[in-house]
Amino acid sequence: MVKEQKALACMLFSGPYGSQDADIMARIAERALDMGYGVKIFLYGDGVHAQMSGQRPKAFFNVGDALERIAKKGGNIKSCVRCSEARGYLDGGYDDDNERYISSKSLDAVRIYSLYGFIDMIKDAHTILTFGST
Amino acid sequence: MKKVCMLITKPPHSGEGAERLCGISAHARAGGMEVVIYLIGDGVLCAKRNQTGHVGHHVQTALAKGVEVVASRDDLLARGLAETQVEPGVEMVEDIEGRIVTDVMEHADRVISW
Repeated sequence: MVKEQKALACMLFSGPYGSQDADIMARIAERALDMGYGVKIFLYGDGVHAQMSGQRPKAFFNVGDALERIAKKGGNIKSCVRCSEARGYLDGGYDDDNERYISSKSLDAVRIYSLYGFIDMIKDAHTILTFGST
Repeated sequence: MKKVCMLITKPPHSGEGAERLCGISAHARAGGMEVVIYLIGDGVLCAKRNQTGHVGHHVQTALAKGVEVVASRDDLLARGLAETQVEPGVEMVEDIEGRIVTDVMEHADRVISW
């Protein structure tokens, strides 16, 4: 049973593979879901690179696969629209039906969203963990 | 007693984060707080035994003052560090993610990640 009333929020500032920040965040977030907590993740700055679809690291923990597992288990993953646009992830404007900005390069598991999404996340979270640096 | 959890993911000597956090942990303990340092990823290198730098000194002091230091066993072994090479008093755990989640969601009053 998911304890939706108690959610862990994670903010990721670093991209995958250059450091372990994304791996560690994903490991903790997935464990929290397995333990029945809600999980909300916000990707910011270079952290938005974790949303890239088709990641195929040869020897490292696959961050893209981890985010997909987290979303399947009920995790809510958003990434900053301004950070995503700056890094070339956007193909179009806001899609009202799917509540996300349009991107063919981003994982389905991640919704590109306004920074206000992070404010909502803070409001609802019991605890916030930050990973990496801008 | 207030409880603070500190999460260190960075190695010692590659920046100031690990050194600062290990350093303030003993002060927080002396100030009457319950303090736990979690070492995960490259952060486990802070637990290496007999380090002569600031981080080694801070970890030894923190342990002597009653700070709980918990390190990921898998991350230590991945870096070639067996139990005998870890500072005495550091707890090596299998499921560090579960320990962190339980602590930050159920017990901690403050959480600092670095």
